[in-house]
Amino acid sequence: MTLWGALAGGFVGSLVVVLGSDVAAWARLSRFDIPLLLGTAVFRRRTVAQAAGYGLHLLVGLSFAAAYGAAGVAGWGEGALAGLVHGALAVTVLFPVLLPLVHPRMALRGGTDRALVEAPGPLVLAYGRWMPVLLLVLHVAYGTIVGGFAGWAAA
Amino acid sequence: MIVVWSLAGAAAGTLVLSTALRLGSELRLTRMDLPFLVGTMVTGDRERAKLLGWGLHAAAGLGFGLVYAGIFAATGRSGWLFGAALGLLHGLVAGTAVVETLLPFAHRRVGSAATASPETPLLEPPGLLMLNYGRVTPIVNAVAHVAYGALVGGLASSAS
Repeated sequence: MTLWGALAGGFVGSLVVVLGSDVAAWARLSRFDIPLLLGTAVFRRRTVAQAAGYGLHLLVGLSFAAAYGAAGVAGWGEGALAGLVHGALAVTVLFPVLLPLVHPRMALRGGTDRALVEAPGPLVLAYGRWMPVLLLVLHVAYGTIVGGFAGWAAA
Repeated sequence: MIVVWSLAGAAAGTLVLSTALRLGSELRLTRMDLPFLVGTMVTGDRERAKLLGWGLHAAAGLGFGLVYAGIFAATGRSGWLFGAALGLLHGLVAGTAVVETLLPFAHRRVGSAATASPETPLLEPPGLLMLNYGRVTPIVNAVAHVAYGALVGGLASSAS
């Protein structure tokens, strides 16, 4: 049951992350657009990329939640801690190093005519100076929800 | 059993949500019309869009009830408060990510900032939090979705 709880948390947590990211963009704290960033890795047309990217982000959120569940993360505190580690990895490795390696339409690779999105840069600072803090906060929120829901399911 | 009770809550919740939105519209608090918005996705005829949209909107309300039921079953928790919290998230996501990201892809009869003057889209784009439909729209939308979620959560807790 813990796994199902974690997955339910992954679904809700992913929605909270997109919402938080939208609010931050609206408040001009960042230029981070998760659906566009993920979707343009697969599709070239912006509207299609955004819709597909939204689905992809949900899938990524569910996959990480399954990993949290498999690692036995249960409880709000444990979840928050796991989210902090996850966020630190996202800020230092996942976005700045791994994503540009697999993303075919990032400004870093090839000519500018093929590029649709800017590379995140070290600590994702290319999308705004608050990005490291924002990503940490969003991942802690995500982890807290995943861990909390898994804890409920385990109880 | 939790699925049946959640669906009962979703049916009641959809009625309450639709009525709240209609009331908000009649009181001139908002120009948002979700059934019409959904209906114009499948037909360009305004009258048919209203009818079809109402059916699709009701079906979506029941479908979301199943998603809520899944969350309640997975966590072993339900209740008015938990349902209301999910409803608030539901309303906020509908007002942000759905209208900003999914709608431009799925809806061909809604205008955009780039719509030229000779074109005649059936609907104005909602904008962030559907603010283009009136300043109070986000509040009406949030209240209606919280009521929906609370009903689904509350009735789902009757199953345990």
